[in-house]
Amino acid sequence: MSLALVVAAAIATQAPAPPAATPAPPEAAPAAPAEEAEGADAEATPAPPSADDAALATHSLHYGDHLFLDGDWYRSISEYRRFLFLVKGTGPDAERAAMAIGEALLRGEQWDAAGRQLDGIAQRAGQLELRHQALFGAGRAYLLDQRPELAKPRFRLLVEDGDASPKLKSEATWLLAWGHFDAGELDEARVYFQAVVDAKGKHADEAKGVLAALDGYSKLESKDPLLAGALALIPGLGHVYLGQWGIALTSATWNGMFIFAAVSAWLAGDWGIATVLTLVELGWYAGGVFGAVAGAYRHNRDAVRNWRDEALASFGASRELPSLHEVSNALPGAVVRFAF
Amino acid sequence: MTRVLVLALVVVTAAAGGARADEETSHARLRKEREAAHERASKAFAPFDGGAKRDVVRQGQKGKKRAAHPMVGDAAKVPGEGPPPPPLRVSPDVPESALLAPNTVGVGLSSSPLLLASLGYQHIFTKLDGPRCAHLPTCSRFGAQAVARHGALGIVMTLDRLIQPNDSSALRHLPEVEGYGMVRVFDPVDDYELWRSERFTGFLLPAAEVPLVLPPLRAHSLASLFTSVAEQPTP
Repeated sequence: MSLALVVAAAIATQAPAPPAATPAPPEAAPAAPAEEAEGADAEATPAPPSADDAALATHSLHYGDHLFLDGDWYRSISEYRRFLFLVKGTGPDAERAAMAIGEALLRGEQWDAAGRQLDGIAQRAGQLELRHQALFGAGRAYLLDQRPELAKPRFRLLVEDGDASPKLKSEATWLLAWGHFDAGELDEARVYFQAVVDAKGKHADEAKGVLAALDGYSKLESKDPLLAGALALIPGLGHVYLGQWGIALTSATWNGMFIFAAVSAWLAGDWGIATVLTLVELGWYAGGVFGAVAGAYRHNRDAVRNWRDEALASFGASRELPSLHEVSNALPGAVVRFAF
Repeated sequence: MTRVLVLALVVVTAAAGGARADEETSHARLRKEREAAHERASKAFAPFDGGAKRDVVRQGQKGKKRAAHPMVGDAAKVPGEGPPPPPLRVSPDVPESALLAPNTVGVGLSSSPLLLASLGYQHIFTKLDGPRCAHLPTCSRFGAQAVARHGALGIVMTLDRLIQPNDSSALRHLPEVEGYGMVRVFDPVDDYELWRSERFTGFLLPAAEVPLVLPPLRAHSLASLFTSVAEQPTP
C-alpha cells in the first residue's frame, strides 16, 4: 500500500493518467517515477533501504517538515518526495509524507494538483481513516478550485458513510452545503446547512447566518429587462431605470445630437449626409436599447453576485484551511490536520 | 546616644530598602528589555507562516491571493522580497480559462471590411493617440469577435460596448485583469449574449457532478501499483 503512495506522490504534478474521479487531462509523464516503476516492476518486493538511505531519508523527512513549517511548500514537497523515493514508499512515515505533499499543495494554493494528489492517496489507501482524510482534503481542494462538481461527491461520500468519524462527517456536511451553494443549488444547500444547525456542531452559528442569508436571496432587488428595453425607446431613460446615470446622460446627449443632425439634414435636403447620419443614429439607438436590456440582465446577475460574496465573506472563512500552526503537536500531513 | 543609634538604624534601614527597590526596578527593567529582545527575535526568526494570515478569499478570486510563485509562501515575510505588489481587483467572475486568449481576432472575418476597419483602427489611430479602450478584449477586438459570432447583432453589441464605463452595472465593477501592458476591465462578448441564461445566474457555470468510484481498501497489491488506477476493474 505504501509503495502506492510513491506513485500517488508523483500524481501531484506529473501523473501519467489521473484517477477515474478526476477529469483533469493527463500531463507529461514523470521521468524519475517511471524509472522507479520499471525497476520495481522487475522485483515484486522492494528491498529495504540501505542504512545510508535510511539515514538520508530521515534527514529528508525532517528537513521537509522544517521547510513546510516555514511555508516553503514546494521545496518541502521535493524533500517529501525524496523521502518516499529513498524508503521506497515503505515504513511508518510514508503515508504521512504523501499526505504532507497534498497539504503543501493545498496551502500553496495549487488546488488542482492537491486534489489529484489526495485523490491518488484515497484510491490507494489501505486504511479507512487515511482514505477519509484524503477524500476530505481533495474535496476541500476542489471546492477552493471552484469545482463543486468534483467537491460534492467527495463530501457526500463522507456524509453518507456510516464509518466516518462524527467530526469528519460534520465538517464534510458543512463543506457539502457550501458546494451546493457555489453551484447555485440553494435548496440542497439549505438542507445541509439546516443539518449543520441541527447537529449543533462547530459551524452551527455560521450555518444559521447562511440560512438567514438564503432567506434574503428571494428578496434581492431585480430589474425587468423588458421594462428597461421599453424605457430605452426614449434614449437614456432605460439606463436611468437601471441607475446608470452616466450612460443615460451620454446616450441621451449622443442620440439627441445625431437625431437633431439627421433631421436637419433631411429638412435641408442633404440626402447623402442625412442617410449616413440616420444609419449611424439607428446603430446608436439600437445599441442603447440593447444596452438597456443587457444592463438589466447584468444588474440582476450582479445583485446575486454581491449577495453571494457577502455570504461568503461573512460565513465562509472556514472553507479555507486553518492557519498553519493552528493544530499543535501535529506534523505536516498528519491526518488530524485535514479535519480540524 | 540611644536616639542617635535609633536614628542611624532607621537611616541605614531606609537606605537598604531603597537600594533593594532600585535593584528590583533595575531587575524589572532588565527583564522587560530581555523580554522585548526575545519578542523581537521571535518575530525576526519566526517561520514565514506563508499563507496562514490571508484574508478571506471569496470563491473564485483566482489569481488575486495566489502568489506569483508559491515557492516561498508569503513574499512579504521573505527578506529582500519586500511587500507584494497591490493585487489587482480580480473578480470571482473571471475564470482563468477565459483569459487564455481574450483578445483573439474573430474567426471568419478575414475578408470583412469590418475587420479591416478594426485593424486600421488598431494600427493607425491607436498608434497615434495611444490606447483609449480600458476593456479587455479591446473595443476593436470586441467588435471583430462580436461580428464574427453574431453578424449584424455584433455591431449593435459593439455600439453598446463603446458607451460602457468600467462598471458591470450600478451594483458592481467589472473585474480588473492585466492586458497589453495596462490594467483593463474584463468584459467579453460572452457577457453580451443575453440568451445564454446560465451566464447570468450569478453563480458558477453549471457542471454535471463527476461520480467518484473508489476501489475497496487494499485493492491494489504491489503488482497493481504500476498500472493506472483507472484501468483497474471496479467492483
